[in-house]
Amino acid sequence: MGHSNSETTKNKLSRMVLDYGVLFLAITIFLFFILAESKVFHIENLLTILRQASILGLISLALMITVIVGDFDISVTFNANFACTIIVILVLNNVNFPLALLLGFLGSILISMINCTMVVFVGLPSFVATIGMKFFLEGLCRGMTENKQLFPINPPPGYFFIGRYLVFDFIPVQVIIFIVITLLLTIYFRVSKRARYIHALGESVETASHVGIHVKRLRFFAYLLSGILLGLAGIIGSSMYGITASGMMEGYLIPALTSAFLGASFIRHGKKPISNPPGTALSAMILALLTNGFTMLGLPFYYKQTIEGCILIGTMIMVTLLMKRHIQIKRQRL
Amino acid sequence: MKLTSLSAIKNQRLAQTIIIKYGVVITTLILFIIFSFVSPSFITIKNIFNLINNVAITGILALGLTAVLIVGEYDISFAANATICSIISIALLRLNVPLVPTWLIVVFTGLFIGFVNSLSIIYIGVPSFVSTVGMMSIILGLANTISKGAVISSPRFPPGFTVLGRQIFWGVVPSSVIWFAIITILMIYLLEYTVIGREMYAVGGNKEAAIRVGINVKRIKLLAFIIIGFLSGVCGAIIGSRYGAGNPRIETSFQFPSIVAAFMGAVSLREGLPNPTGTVTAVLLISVIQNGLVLIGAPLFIKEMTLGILMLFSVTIVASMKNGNISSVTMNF
Repeated sequence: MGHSNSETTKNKLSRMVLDYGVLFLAITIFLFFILAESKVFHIENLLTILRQASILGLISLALMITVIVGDFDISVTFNANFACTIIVILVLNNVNFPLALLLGFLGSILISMINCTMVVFVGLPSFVATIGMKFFLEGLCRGMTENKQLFPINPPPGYFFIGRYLVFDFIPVQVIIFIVITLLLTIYFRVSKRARYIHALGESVETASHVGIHVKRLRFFAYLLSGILLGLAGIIGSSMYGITASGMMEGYLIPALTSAFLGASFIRHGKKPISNPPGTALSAMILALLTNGFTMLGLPFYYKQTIEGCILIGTMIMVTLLMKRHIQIKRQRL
Repeated sequence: MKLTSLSAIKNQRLAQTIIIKYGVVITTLILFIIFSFVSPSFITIKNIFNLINNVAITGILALGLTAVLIVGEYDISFAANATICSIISIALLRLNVPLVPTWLIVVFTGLFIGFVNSLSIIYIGVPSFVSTVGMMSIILGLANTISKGAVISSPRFPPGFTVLGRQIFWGVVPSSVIWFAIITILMIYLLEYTVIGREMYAVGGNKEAAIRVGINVKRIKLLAFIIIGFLSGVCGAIIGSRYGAGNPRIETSFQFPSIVAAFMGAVSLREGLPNPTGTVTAVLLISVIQNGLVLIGAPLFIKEMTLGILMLFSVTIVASMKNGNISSVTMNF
């Protein structure tokens, strides 16, 4: 005896807006940049966009995983920055290059493990723990770089391979990495039993533990996965930017948050909106396009800041409304 | 089998409770004594007022955040709110708007931003943490738009301008300290001794129970956001008066210390419940620690790391006490 069969016009309209809102947003952005005659759609620029999107995408995916289990991780950008800082400093000190990469990678995982310990095993609220970690890392990175920008003076061969080499003279390596990882995650989240459990525990920790899902172990795994992605983002960042500065990745935070949630409404078509890898990756690309477009139009950075904030809030409102509507529909069906 | 006497357990529990509840106050006193040995000028009246003056603005913001934490929400945008209000105050004074209307407009702007913040959180149900992160970005963008990304100032200021931020009354007391004291008294009175304060604690403690008792939860949460908006506006006016310039990057100086103070305050004196008295003591501890770090000549980045460690340490205590009231941030709809 629900309303699911006889929708009023208003319901239908709001449903269309909510379901296709993101597509609408994307088309608007495309049209805007084309009409403004920015050089956004030139080939070299598209490559730049994809490059930015790779790092943003990896950070967003890492954030998405923590969101699926129900935590927020605000320290993701500084985590990737930490890995990048470690790599550049080690290379500056002529440490063996693969070793430097490995240590940076492990550094990211270490930070994620500390976050995990605080949130999962001690029981701190995730926002508090990760915001403390964020400021701690900020101070640490600033101390490590002595508040300067560091770049490798004599980079070892292969240093710029990930960030700047073009396969077939055309596709940056980092984009390939990003796309491969997105595909792997998409398949994994559809196929793996463990991924299903992760979603379950994101919905309701109590129910999951009653059903026999090992909550702590799974959350640990989620943080581990997130740390791996952030380590990769840091490695790509060190190679692409070639420098490290303490606030370098800070600008990725708001877009990453937005991507994680914006992706939730993609590709679901009436099913419950949950952050998913393909949606997040697509959103990251749209947001990278947006950022790039602003730069190409020569707009000052604060326009971008304001609009990014608006998009984040708009996305959150949309996702919240979708969730509520989904819960309502479910209740009516019962 | 070792029999531990009941009184021994009680004593141990009592000791634990005292350490946690009064830890902040005790630590402050101990550090204070240590520093006064290190540097004889530490213990003068002038220096004590200086210590308070350094954190007066942080303290006011932290009190606002305490109110929001009490009702169970978060607000990350309060420092950005204060920043844009300080920029607006300088911008208006530059346009020769008289002093009192300027401050009224500034305070009202802060209040309005707090109100706007509350809209998506209370009426749509967006998780407060993410919503205020987005709002912070918007506000900072707008602040930079007004100041064109630079620090703005004004060639001349109307008389009486320094009353809020820079003047020294009766030879020793800085004006910021006076405002901090007034707001502290008001907030403690509101939160601890009025019905509305009780209702705010109730909403934060158990929302369902509060609804059933008949408390208008939406209105109380709205009040919390309006309070923090109002206090941020006041801080904006004080910042503008104190530095004589509007700096869009100043929010970083106040954001994290206020958050740390509010959370540390929850630990002290109330074992996990955010409370205004605890916040104020935590703010003073932060001031003493930072002053001490300067005394021993520690490099700048140590400050943030110390604050981070302090916060994590105190929140860990709260979490392990499980008596606490810091709501976790999950996507609960």
